[in-house]
Amino acid sequence: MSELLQVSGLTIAYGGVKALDGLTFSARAGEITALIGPNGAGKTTAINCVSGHTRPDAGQVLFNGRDILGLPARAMTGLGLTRTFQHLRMFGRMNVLENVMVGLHGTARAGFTAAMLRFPSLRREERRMAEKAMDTLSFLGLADLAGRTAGALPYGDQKRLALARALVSEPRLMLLDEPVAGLNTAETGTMGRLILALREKGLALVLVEHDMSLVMRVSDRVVVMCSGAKIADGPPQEVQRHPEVVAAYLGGGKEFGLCA
Amino acid sequence: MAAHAALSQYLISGLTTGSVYALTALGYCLIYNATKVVNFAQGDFLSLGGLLFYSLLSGLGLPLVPAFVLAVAGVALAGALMERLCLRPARSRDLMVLIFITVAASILARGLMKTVWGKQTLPLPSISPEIPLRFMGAAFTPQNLWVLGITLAAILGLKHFFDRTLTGKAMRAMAANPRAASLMGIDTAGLTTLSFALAGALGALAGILITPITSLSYDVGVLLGLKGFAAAVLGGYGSFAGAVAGGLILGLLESLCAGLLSSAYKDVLAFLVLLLVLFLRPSGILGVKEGRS
Amino acid sequence: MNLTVQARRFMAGLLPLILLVGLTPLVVTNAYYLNVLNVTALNVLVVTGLNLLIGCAGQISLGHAAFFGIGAYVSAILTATYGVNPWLALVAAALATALCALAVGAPTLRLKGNYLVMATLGFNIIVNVLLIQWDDLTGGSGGLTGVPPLVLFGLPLDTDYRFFWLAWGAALIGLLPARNLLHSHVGRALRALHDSPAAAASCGVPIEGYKIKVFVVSAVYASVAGSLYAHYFGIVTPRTFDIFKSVELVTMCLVGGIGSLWGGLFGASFLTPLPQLLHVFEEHQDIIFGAVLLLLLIFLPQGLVGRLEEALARRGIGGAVMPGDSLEERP
Ligand SMILES: Nc1ncnc2c1ncn2[C@@H]1O[C@H](COP(=O)(O)OP(=O)(O)OP(=O)(O)O)[C@@H](O)[C@H]1O
Ligand SMILES: [Mg+2]
Repeated sequence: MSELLQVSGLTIAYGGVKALDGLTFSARAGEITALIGPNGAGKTTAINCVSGHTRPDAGQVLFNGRDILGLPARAMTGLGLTRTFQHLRMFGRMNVLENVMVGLHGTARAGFTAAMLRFPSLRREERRMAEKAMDTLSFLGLADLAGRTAGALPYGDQKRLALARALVSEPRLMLLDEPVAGLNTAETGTMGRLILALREKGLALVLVEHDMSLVMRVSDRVVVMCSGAKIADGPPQEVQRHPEVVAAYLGGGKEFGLCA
Repeated sequence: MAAHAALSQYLISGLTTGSVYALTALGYCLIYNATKVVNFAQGDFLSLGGLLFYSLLSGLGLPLVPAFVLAVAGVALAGALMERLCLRPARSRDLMVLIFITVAASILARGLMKTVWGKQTLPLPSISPEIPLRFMGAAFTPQNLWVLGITLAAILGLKHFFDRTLTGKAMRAMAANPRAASLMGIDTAGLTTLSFALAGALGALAGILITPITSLSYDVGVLLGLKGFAAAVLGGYGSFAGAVAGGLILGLLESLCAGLLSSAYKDVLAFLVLLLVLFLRPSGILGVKEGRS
Repeated sequence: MNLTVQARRFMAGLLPLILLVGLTPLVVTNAYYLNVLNVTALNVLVVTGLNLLIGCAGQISLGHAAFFGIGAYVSAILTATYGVNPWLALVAAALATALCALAVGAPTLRLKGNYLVMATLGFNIIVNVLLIQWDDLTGGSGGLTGVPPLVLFGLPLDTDYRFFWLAWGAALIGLLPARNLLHSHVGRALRALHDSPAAAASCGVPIEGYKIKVFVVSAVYASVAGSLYAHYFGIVTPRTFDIFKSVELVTMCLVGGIGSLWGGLFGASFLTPLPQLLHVFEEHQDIIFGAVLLLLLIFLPQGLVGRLEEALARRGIGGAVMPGDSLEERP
């Protein structure tokens, strides 16, 4: 299998601090690539660079063989690359269905004028989007909540809603920034199953997570980061034995501690 | 020789109004750095400063120095009250709403000043007797010197405050990162109030200094305030050095424009500069470069 | 599903309003009151456009009085000085205004932060001074007189009563495209970007382009209202279009409810006649106006109608139409 996403040499400094320092990793279709590391390791920054939200100082990002570095964030969903955010970033005042429909924005053909005059083409498109969004909500078990205001949902549901918003446009690659952070055990289990289901669909997934048991359970490959650089890369069992990683566990805690 | 004299004349009047714009722009800066709010009541601080000074001098018959000090302190208090009573209790943290609260405060303040002092223009005396002076062929009065001197003193005082005092340093830390500052135990609420008080004091200085030259009425600060705003944008909104530079440059440009081109369009100039800066270099001359969204 | 419910609810609100407007001239025959109502309608039109901008793009314009003025003056000059057909002039005015809005909005809306408010403020002052100084074209501070009335189906709309139908017709019809926009993918995208620009961008929303378009559309609303104003009063003066008028227009949006179309309608209908009502207080008018506005903004930032909509939403009668707060964020 060939690499869908190839990231190489990503480097970015904020002030004097190097948030990313020559980070290189890749992700394949039908695989879950986990990106782990202690707080401040640069995981979110790496995702931001791939998703077009942050411009790195140096490096290369190839998606499906195409150089996508420098493309604006809004161009990514059209290419088949979507993401979720560590801090949800729900559209809190819209209802659940509308939130997911925004995820389909990249597929809309009708323009500004059509929208103001409500052309029949626009109505058809609205219907199509609503149906598609409902399908996704059903898949994630959120269909009952379609009419609820997103900001008022319990945190666990909001996390799944964030997934729905990224999933609805049928991407080929999803970047998930801490999808189970703040969830209880049951919710974490559900989310883990959903992520595996997406993998079965053939999506490439990049999973940033602090929950090691989830990471070790679902990942095909684990990339370990520290201070913006990669310190280990391989299948979960191998990475677990890696001396630097073991050291970083500080005595085998569940969470990552400090860098080695 | 005549051209030479005219030029120094423009220079002096330009630097005088420029100083006032600089003081005003510094006021915008202080409040912006503390809260990210554009304070549309800054111009009213000018009016209030002039009016208070007038009443203390002519109404109560106080001597110059106490009247001056009390007027500045009075407007500083008004600034602090504005923050405490209008912005602090606001239910929304939306910047749009906060900015419009300052607009509403400005409308209210102007209404109050109109009721107390009336609509007519008031004769505010200069700080010292009006003896005509000459320098390089340009005619000016001691008031011009007072404006320049007091502005310089205020700027140096501010600089000392921010560089040397603990409170000033804390204020800078708060501007750079309010959350971190508050985590470090800095009293951000108190400093925000202080910023408004300082902005009020600077506005009062500007008002007391310029109104003997222009004229004094309850709404004199409106246009001056807007021009000070333009100066702040020109310098780089939020930058102190920029505010001073922007104010002086704008004052000079205005006096050159009025002298050499047309005084009818003098009042447009500040806002043309404002638009040009926003289009070409929104970070202003000395501001931090602003990212694209 | 849900969307058509919203659409139906809007219509359900609109019908009684149409009825109310239709019955008003039967009751109100006093020319003075009709005049106030007509001005209210024009304000409603401007505020509807402005609300799209504020509610959607999360940006304030302090230049809408200038767009209102450009519409009025282009119409007035073309018809009074050059004898152009008023309807044609109205279209020309709208185009001119759109170009101005594009020139002001395109560079500033690309930037993060509230630069639009600064640029529009400067723009309004410049336009105002130009209207006064460019007197061979604009008639200077005295204004331009002799603007002919609009003619509809051969009927000159030269009385308060006749103009009433046009003004309120325009105000109500103007609500429709605005509502359509809000409930389309474009409207959702705009609301989304108010809540989180980063997430909206990830969803493929062309943030800058939409903001600029909304701004231009909202300026065109103001321009059309301005053209109608010029033909109604027959005279245009610069003072009508100064920065304080811009502040007043934004105030109408905020008092009603940020981004709520009903809120705008209410805000304009409440604030336009208010100065006439406050007239009894004469000198203290500004104090009362300022104090009311201040209290509303401090304690009811979502606006009067916005508050009502929230209450309804909490009871499950439809989601809030628009966001009020936005959080500072970095992706
Ligand atoms: N916009 C920014 N400005 C300044 N510093 C930044 C910025 N973004 C990230 N950083 C810094 O870069 C480093 C990496 O941050 P990043 O958010 O990528 O870490 P992370 O691995 O996602 O951590 P966490 O597990 O806590 O989410 C941190 O030191 C952070 O403070
Ligand atoms: Mg992170």
